[in-house]
Amino acid sequence: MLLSGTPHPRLRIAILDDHPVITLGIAAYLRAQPDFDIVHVETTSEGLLQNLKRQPCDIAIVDFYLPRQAWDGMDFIRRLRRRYPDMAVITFSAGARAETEYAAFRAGATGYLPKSASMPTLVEVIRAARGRSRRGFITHANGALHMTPPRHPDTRLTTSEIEVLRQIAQGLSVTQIAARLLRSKKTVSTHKRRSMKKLGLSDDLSLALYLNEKFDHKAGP
Amino acid sequence: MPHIDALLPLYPDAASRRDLLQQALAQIRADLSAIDSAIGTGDHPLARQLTHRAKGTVSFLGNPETLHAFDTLTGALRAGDPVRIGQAYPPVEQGLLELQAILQQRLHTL
Repeated sequence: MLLSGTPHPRLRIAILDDHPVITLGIAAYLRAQPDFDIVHVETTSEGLLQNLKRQPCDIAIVDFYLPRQAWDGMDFIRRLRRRYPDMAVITFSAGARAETEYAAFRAGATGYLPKSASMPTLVEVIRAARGRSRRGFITHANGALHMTPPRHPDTRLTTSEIEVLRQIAQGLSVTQIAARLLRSKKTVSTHKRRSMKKLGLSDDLSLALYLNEKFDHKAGP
Repeated sequence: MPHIDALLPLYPDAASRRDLLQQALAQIRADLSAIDSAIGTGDHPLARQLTHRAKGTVSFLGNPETLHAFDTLTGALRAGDPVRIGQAYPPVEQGLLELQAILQQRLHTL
């Protein structure tokens, strides 16, 4: 008798999106997959962290932009990474592709998919992410999976600087950003000052104009 | 083709399809009203966040060709320019109303 190999265990999946329709839609579709267990369906980053403590998962599908929540973006992906290093994190976002994809990659996500992607594509990415929490970075383009790390969308800035600018563009103060990112106000101010220098921006007005242009269409709200 | 037409046949039964459609319809109505109200009261940061959320719904369920209208409104809201906002909002409203009509039609045919 031939052995067909050890079957894969069922994948435990957590879904986080601040939009209940999207969590419902994804969960309903993924529940129909024979090897998936949908363990957590959450609309807040705080709720997801609490529930993961109770029951960890193999894969987390997380929305990148969660305005008005305790954590989102790179900060939240890093937080998940620190607490659950073996869990694969797939970023799912309606934000601008290049910036969000790169930011998710740098924060340690396992893959990225735009919200306009089809559900079968999401399933494909989830299966590819199985056991790949830190190896490679999965994206989907032109009908195929890719494992190539994304390119930096703006080589002038570090990811920390981009993250600080993204939060400034959301209207947060240096103090609020420092609290959110668990950094000192001095560090946040340094990131802001260095990015302004790199971008050749001399004052807050020119920074505001740059943010207006840069984050208008490219990096979500 | 709206994503909902690719999504619905993939759901296991009529009950889960109905549930998705009903929740989506309720959410779109709520988002439309909330965006309208936030713009009316001049709360541009809130309007921007709601617009992003609504863009997520349209990305997930609707027609990707309408997404640029959401980016245009986001830009106008970020600039805080009432004229640009006034021009950018109607296409977003129209996009959401069209998606609402599509979802209602799919609900009736279940």
